[in-house]
Amino acid sequence: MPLSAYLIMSALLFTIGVIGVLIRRNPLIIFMSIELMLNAVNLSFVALSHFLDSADGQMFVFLVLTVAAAEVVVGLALIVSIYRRRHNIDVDEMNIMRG
Amino acid sequence: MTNLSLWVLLLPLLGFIILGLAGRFMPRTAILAVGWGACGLAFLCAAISFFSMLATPAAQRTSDQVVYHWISAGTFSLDFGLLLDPLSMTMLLVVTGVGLLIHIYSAGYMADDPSFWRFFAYLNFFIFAMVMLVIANNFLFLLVGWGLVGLASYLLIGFWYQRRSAVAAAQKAFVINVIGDFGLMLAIFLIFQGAGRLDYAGVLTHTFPAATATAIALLLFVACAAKSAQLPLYMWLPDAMEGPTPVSALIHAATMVTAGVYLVARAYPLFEQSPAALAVVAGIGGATALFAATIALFQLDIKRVLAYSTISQLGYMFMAEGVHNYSAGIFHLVTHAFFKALLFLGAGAVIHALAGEQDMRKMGGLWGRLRVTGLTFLIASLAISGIIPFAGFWSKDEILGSVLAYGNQTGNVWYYILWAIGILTAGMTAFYMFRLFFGIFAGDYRGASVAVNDNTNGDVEEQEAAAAGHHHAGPVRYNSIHDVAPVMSIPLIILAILSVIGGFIGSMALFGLPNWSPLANFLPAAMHNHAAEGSLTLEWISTGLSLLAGVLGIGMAWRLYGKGFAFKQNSNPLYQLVFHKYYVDEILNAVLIIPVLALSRTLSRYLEGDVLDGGSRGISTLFRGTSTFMRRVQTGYMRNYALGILLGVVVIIVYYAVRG
Amino acid sequence: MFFLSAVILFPLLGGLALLFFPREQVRAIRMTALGLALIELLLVLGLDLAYLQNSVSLFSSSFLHESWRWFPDLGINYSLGMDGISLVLVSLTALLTAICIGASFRIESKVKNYMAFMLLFESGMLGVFLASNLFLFYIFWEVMLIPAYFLLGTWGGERRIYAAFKFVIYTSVGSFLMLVGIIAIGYYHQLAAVAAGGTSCGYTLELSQLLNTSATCHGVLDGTTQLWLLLAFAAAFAVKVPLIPFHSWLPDAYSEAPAPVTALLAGAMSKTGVYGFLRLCIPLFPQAIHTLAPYINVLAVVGILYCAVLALMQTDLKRLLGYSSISHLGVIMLGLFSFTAQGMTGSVLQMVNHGITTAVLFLIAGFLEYRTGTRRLQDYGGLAARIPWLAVMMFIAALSSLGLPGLNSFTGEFLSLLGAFRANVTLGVLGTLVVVPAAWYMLRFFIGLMWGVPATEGAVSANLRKGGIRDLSLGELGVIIPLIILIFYIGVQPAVLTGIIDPSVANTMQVLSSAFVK
Repeated sequence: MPLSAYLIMSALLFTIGVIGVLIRRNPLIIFMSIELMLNAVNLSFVALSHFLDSADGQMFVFLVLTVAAAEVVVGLALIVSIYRRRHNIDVDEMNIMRG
Repeated sequence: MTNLSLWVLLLPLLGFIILGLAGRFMPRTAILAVGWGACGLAFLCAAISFFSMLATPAAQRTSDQVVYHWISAGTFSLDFGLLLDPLSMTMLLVVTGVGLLIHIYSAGYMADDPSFWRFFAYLNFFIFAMVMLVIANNFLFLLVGWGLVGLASYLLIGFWYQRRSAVAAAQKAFVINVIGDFGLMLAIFLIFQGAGRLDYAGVLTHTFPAATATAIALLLFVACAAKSAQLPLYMWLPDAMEGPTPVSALIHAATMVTAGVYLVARAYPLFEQSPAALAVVAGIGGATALFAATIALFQLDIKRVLAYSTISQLGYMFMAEGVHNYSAGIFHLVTHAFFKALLFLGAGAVIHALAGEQDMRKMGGLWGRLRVTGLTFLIASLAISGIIPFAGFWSKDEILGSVLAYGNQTGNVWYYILWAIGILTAGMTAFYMFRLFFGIFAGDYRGASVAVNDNTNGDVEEQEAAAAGHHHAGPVRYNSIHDVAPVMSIPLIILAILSVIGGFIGSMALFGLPNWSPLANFLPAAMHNHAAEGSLTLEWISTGLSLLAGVLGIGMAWRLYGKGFAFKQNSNPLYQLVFHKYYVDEILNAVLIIPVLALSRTLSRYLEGDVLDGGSRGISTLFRGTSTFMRRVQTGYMRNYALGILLGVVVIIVYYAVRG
Repeated sequence: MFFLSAVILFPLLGGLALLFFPREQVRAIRMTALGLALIELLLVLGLDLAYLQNSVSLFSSSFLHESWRWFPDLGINYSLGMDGISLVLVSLTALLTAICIGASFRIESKVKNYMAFMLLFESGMLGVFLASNLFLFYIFWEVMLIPAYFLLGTWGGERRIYAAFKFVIYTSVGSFLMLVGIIAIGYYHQLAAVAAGGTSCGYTLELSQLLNTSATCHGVLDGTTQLWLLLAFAAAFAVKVPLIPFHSWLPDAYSEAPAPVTALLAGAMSKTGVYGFLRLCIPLFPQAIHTLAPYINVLAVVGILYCAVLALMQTDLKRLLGYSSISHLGVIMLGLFSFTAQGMTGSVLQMVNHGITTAVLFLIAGFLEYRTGTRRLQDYGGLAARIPWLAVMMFIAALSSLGLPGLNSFTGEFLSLLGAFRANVTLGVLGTLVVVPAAWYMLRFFIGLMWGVPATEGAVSANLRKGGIRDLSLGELGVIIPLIILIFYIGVQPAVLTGIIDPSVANTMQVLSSAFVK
């Protein structure tokens, strides 16, 4: 398959992720969308790495995976603690910092 | 030569410090011991120095002693030093001598005042300041003395500080004197610019370019005009009569107001370099003499008559100096100190006897009750009217003679006019003095009987004064009026004697004694040898006319008021103009004071308040407004921010895509 | 070797130590703070003695000079130095801080913080007077601002928040411009030095290197660059002095701050602005300063007369003193920018004198406000009979302020105006003219409070009826007397100060003239 197929796939996934982040109000879904975006990037990294015959891109994928895992942990912890406090995890309700 | 001038300076200062710090807790006798002691010892030191100076040859009579190094900045370096020469010696004797007499008199005059100690502290301070003024060896310490006597005058005018009128007068006196200080400061700047130094020894021998010399001399004269109450800066002196009467005698008649005359005499080499400035001095002197004499003609407050008379006499002194006869100016200064101090002290005795009454309309007939006062007052009136052989005759005669001689020598018609003004003023002087004398002492006592219906501003002030608890306790019955105690009458008698014989230190050339002129011979020859020498005939013309004017003035006063003074309303506009002192105070108020204050208020409200403060508030409002608008963007919703980021990315990508 | 650092850091560390006191030990805190300020004053007196015995100049490597590497690549060093001008101002600051802390015993709330801020404020000012690296100068400049802000905003009067904001915003705008100037001067100086043939010249903010004309790495900035840099520096200093029209913060700040703080602001802090002009602007930009000087002089003269006229009709006593203060600082600026030995020496001398006099006046205004609870002039009147000593002290200070010959301010003003007159007759005459309104408003001030009949209504008369207005207490007397003595002493014997100031001024003038020989 040509490189463009991978990249288009990656762009589609990324766009779906963005739209998910923008329109959903449930933080869990938003997290999943963020993961989707990260993985879209990972896909293009891997594709380009293969295409350019360089291991650098694959290295970055591992970095992104680790960071994403850490991020999910922190994020889920936050969501759980917010739920415990407010019994509601709608992001639009979380506006006490609003100026 | 024994030179005790430092002690003359420091003893009154010491007296002031002791009285100022501890006077509140001291008994009256201790206060007097310190107050009199300081001034008396100063006089003693001055006298010792004087006799020691007389014993020294004329060439070695100047002693310039450096006390300490005062300041240095770049090329400017100045020492504080004392200059004792015949001129400052004369002034020292007058200041400490008349000062001592007035210290003595004040013990009686102020006996009932709760702030007795404060009065003597201020008097001692004044003596210190005045000595500083005359004894300094450079222009800067002259300025120091100049400012300090102004302060002393302020404190003493405002001595009864709860009287609104006294407070206003004190402030006015100080501020107008500061205008003089301003002139003196500028003169000092110019002197330093030109000569590079400020000590008399260096400056007075220095030749300045003509324009600079004129500027310096005129600026010095601004200071003189303010201090010596000459036109146009005389307004403070009549108001200064709000102070206790001994103060009027010492500061506002005998000594401080003559500082201007002293300064011109001291700086005469500078004035000699500028004929234009001297002409101004003479002109202002003559104009002031006439102007003030006209106002004195119709005043009702006895101290104000004397105040305008002082202004007028000071005008004479400047007239003399304006025609190069500096020693005649100093001569008149000395005799004037005697008889004018006497007049004020006599007026003070009258006021004291009448429990604070100063209005001539409520006096009269006091000759029967106040014999010593009346007699000494008569002597002083004769002296100031220029009646031979009293002191004023000799000095005034010398002035008028040299003005006429100068006119004759230069052929300048203005000096003839000046001389005529002098003669006219002499007549007016005699008139208003004897109007005053008859008003106080002749006729029947008018005090207890009538409430005089007057429309002058005097009444309001008096009511306020009475409310403030000083001054004027209401009319005194004629039979309960007593002449003053010895502590007050002895100074009167001494001054009366001096007013009789004081003139004999002047020239006797008129009477065929060309070598008899002790004062002029004592003072440096340069102070009078620039003056014009008139022929004896010319002198006699002048003398005769001035005597005639004096006698005429007395005669007119006798005809009008010999049977007692009576105040008549007079609606003649000219009379009203003079009676209201040419409305100068009102004009000054309307032209200068009210506009400045209004300007201050307006600037304060609009420029400071609205423009500057408002401007900075406006800028802050602008920022606040912008931020009120901008904060709407900060919705707090994550997804709005994310959308923003996305849009940004899209814009960037599109930009690069389009650009290729 | 650590003498100057000790002088600067002692109050700072002392203030920090103060924070460990228990909050309720108010008396101990006050006494300790006063003790610290007095020890600091002793240190400074030691500094005076040391200086007088080994007269040093600004950059001479003596024990009164310190330099430690800090960020040498950025030209930033911790370096301190001093000369006679710094010396008199450091002494003034230490004296006034001790006195103002002594006068602050009536502060009841958050005493610990107040005292700590006062000491920090002192450190900041001393640092400004002693720093000889531009970056260090800037740091101390800002250190000075922070405590001033809190002192004003926390312990001030009713409108304190407004006043504090205005003060901080005005000053920081100036300061940030100065920071830009500082960064740029290092850069342009390096460029100029390289252009002049120095091959490996680094970026430097060290004052001694920027001024050292004999070194290889010395570049002469061209006129335009100098002018822009000068304007950036001048912005900070003109606000601090203040020069009109940058003075709008001052009446608010001076009238709202507690009296001892105002005394310190007016007495010492305003001098940092003038000092900045003298120490930095004049030697660093000798050509540009000549271009700018006429404008500054005109602003100074306008300020002198404008503020004197404004002071005539003020109704708030601290505001009146505030305007009088601006007017007098105008005289100082006029003397400084005359570029004559008399004017500059007089200007430095007058900084000391004005500090002393204005501090007394503000402290006395504070004493009165404490007694009566009002600052409105109309409420006062006729107090001299009731509180004679207070009246006497105030009168002496007022006389000093109006420039009575024989008292301290006269000496400084006379020299400043003499210098101004020699440089420019018109400006000199106009500047000298201020003595007339100055006498007028000062006497009006004094008379309005002390003379005349007591007011029949208002806060003062209410207090009078209750018998609540007392004369100076011993503590207040102890605070005022040292300053009153100085008012007399400097008036009678100014040579003591001019002897210290004059040689240092001569050095500054040499920099100025050597720049023109080139």
